[in-house]
Amino acid sequence: MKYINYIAIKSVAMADILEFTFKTDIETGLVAKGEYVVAYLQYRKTGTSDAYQELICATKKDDPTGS
Amino acid sequence: MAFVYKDKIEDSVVSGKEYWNVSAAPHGTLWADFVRDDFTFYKLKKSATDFKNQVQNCMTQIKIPKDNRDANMFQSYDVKYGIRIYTGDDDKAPKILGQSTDVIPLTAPTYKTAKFDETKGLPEDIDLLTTVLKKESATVTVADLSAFTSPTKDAKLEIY
Repeated sequence: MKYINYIAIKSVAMADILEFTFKTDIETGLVAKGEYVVAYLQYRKTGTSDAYQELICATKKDDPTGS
Repeated sequence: MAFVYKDKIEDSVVSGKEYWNVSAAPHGTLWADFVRDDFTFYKLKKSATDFKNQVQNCMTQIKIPKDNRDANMFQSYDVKYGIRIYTGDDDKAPKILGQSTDVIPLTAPTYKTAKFDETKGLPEDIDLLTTVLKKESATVTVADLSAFTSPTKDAKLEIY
């Protein structure tokens, strides 16, 4: 699985899925254990001056269960 | 579209969490439609960028219901993306690792019907049609990591 994906599910009873996978590659010492690595994506419709909405994905360093 | 956050930052999936953006008002309540629960996926990985770096993965999904769907949502979006480092749940002044911009097209899906052999049941892939929208990659140079103490290596963010 790679890229941003739109998963169209044929069943009318089930929602489609917009899927984002983030990969943060950073020097180990800059982030302490227990701190959150937060990838964000702000978006608005092209051609508008609307405020940006924001989607975030956060992971706690060295704590995979805290993601 | 819904906002998304990771549930363990917040105590409750229902109540959500406010995030603070530098020089901006607090964001509204955020919640996750789905959070990938996979120890191996979230475990730190070796980096191909530099041996001093490590890779942190994160994956989230937004559900887009078919009922009452706004057809106008399928168009291009201006996006800004980057990385923030929060020291904890109450950190309102996160360190910021640069920001990149781009345009992501969101095209309406097509739901094709297909014939299948009832004696064999549905093929595994008949219900899903995955469309790749975009791959993004941004490098944050050491010069742009001034919020951190003594950075020596570039950072990178990929959306994939």
